[in-house]
Amino acid sequence: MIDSDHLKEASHQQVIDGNTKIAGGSRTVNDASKSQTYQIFRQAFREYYFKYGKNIESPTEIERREFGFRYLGPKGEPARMVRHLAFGSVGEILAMALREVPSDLYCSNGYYRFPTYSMQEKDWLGADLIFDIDTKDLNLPCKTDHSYLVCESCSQVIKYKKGLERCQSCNSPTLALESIPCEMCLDGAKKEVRKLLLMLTEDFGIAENDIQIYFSGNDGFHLYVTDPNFQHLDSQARSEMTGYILGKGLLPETIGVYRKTRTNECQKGTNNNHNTDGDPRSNIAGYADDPHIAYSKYKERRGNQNNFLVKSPRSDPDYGWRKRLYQQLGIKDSFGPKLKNIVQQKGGYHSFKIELDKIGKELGVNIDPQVTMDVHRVFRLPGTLNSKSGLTKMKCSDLDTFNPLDDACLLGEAETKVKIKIPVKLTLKGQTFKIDETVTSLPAYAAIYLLCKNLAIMI
Amino acid sequence: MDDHLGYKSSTHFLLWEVYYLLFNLLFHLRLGTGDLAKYPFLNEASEYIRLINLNYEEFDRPEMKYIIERSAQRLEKEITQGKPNETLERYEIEVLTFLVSLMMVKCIGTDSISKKHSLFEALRAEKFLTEDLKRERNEGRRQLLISKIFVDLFKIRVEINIDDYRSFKVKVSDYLSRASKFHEQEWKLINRSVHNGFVYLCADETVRLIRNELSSLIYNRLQAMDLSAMPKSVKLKLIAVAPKFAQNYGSPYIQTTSRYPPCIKHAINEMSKGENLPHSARLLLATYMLSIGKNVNDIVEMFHSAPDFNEGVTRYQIEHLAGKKGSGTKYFVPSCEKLTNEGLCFATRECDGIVNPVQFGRRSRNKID
Repeated sequence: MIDSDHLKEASHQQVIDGNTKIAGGSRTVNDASKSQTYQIFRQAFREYYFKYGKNIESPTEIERREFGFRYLGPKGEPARMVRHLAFGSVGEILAMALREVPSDLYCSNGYYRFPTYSMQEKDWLGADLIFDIDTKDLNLPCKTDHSYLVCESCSQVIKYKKGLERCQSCNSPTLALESIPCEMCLDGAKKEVRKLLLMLTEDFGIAENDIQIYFSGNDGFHLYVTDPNFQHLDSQARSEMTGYILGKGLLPETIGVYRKTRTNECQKGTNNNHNTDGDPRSNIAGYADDPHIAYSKYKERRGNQNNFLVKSPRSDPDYGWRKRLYQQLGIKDSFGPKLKNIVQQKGGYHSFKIELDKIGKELGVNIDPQVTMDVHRVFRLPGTLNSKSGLTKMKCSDLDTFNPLDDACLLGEAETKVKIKIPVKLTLKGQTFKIDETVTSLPAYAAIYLLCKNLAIMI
Repeated sequence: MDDHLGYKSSTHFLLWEVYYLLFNLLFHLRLGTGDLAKYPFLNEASEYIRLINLNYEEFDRPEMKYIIERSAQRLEKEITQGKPNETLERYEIEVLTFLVSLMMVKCIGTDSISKKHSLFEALRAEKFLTEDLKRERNEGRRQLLISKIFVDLFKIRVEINIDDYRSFKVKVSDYLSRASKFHEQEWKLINRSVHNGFVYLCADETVRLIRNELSSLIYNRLQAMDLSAMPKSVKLKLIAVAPKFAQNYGSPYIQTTSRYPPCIKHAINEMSKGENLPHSARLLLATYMLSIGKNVNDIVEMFHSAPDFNEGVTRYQIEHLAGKKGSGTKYFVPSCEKLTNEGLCFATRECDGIVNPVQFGRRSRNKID
């Protein structure tokens, strides 16, 4: 299973307390190298927190947040997760980080009256609105060049192939996707971040000061919205917001293209439904009295390129997605024959709707909806290390100049010998490593990067 | 009409001081008495009831007969015909009818009737409010209605669109927290005009947004009512009409099929092929099976073919979902919307009109009849 950057609330079924093993996320290294791996991680991570402890950001209303951390066990056994913790200050967090040297440190997006209680008793007060943009979801053409599948049973690594679902060595179906994001990936993610910023400021009216952009520490970006107007929104409302941002669910009626039905053909404007003001959508099939006739007529009309009417859309102004659609279709508004011609060319109402889905996908922002919808999730705390890469989750004050593979790579440079499982190429701190040999000596930050991604083991 | 109502003679129970006080109250707030008739749930209407110092004996007066009769008719229309009462009379009658109807519903004590009545009262007010927002030419009065109902009662920021007086704008967060509960595609935010933090709506839509809250407000009033003693006249009327209500209350749904919805079929098929189902699909399968009454052992059995099957873990998780472990919270089946977002929805035509897989195969008793 592909591990996620975050720990979902639902995972409290998997992650109950410090004594329970987290599902997924285990490092499958052989027994001999376990304690050595542990020492390398512990040393490098502790050094980071000594040097860069000031990087850890204090979340707003720190006393109302739930914290959690995960760390390597003393013998290098799979990482354990502890949740439902509370800290009064960033100093306390740093002291804990230096003492325990966690592999990952998390903080909730939610605010709770009792953050240390169990999930049902915490008394949720609100949550920051967070968006996740992941290079893996962008499906860029370069993905196959630097993605690998790691078998969670036998540790075998193979080059990523679309459709490959089982390990070629042991036939296990549990394959984890690991990727070494390239510059093209990160630029693609930045492009999505810019699109999202524009939508949040122009459409949702969120001030730029209320939006913080973070590099996630692995292969994506997190956008935090701290505008109090959005903090009380429940999961369903956030889901609705993600639909808007993803460009999902556009109706042709939004720009004045209506399905032709018996209602609007024969009884124009005589609809009794006071809620829709004679809008033909109120009786979608047009034959509400007999659903069987309605369905056969509906099927008949599907293939017909004249199965639509163009009318002026609702009286509200042309903003948001309606404006975007007009621009994309090269029209000013719904008036005139242009729109009618476009719909006819596409093959009628239903084909036009499919076209709108495509436009929605193209103009929408590729966010992970699950992350935004979750109001009880814990997110990596800004300024801490990501054990999937050894990079730091960092605030990007200037997105254009920020280079994650340089600016967020803050681990030490001590020579470390590793054995790679597959030839790889990576660029970190401005240095490109093209590794073909099985055993190689690398700076700690590069060695740890490969160890984190299960593409190498200690020797 | 006055004779029929007995209102000429009834004025003696309203002291002239009360009229004076009420006049003052309304004058300062600039709400007309007509508004109390349309919106009897407003605090000003409660204040009116308080001012007239109505006690239980007053209900047994002959002039109250019309109010009690009217309240019973209102309930009968709602329960037996499923229609709200949209007639409008003088505020004294409307405010008292509202009150007596609530007393009757409280006495019936059936939660489904309480909810239905609350909804119909909300629908009634919705109709009047929509008309007022559409037709009222006095900007001050429109603003006042917005302030009294949207802002004071429900804390929604609604503004009149200065570019088009017929349309309104609502803060996007206020819109989202309400419209996300509606299932029609046209309410999806993506199909709305959204700009600079506001969603643009017409009068009907603006008022529709608060229907559920209005209904909850009335329902909560009902819940908070303390009826230790019931006026005799109201009780007698209720005894006379109650049998008509009872026959309308059975289970509203009947199950028309025992087949699984397509999302569940798909999950079962994948599982039987030994595929590694994602966590969300397992959650769907387990919660669905629990909701249709399957026991934990049977459900554990279903997961046997999962590649990473571990009986102990599976049993624990299912018992957790069933509320038998941990906090005792029972997990419900995820909604169709959530499943669509997770790529677990494989809807067919039979899924039309449902919002949760558990509704698959159910048909409203009314529709079948």
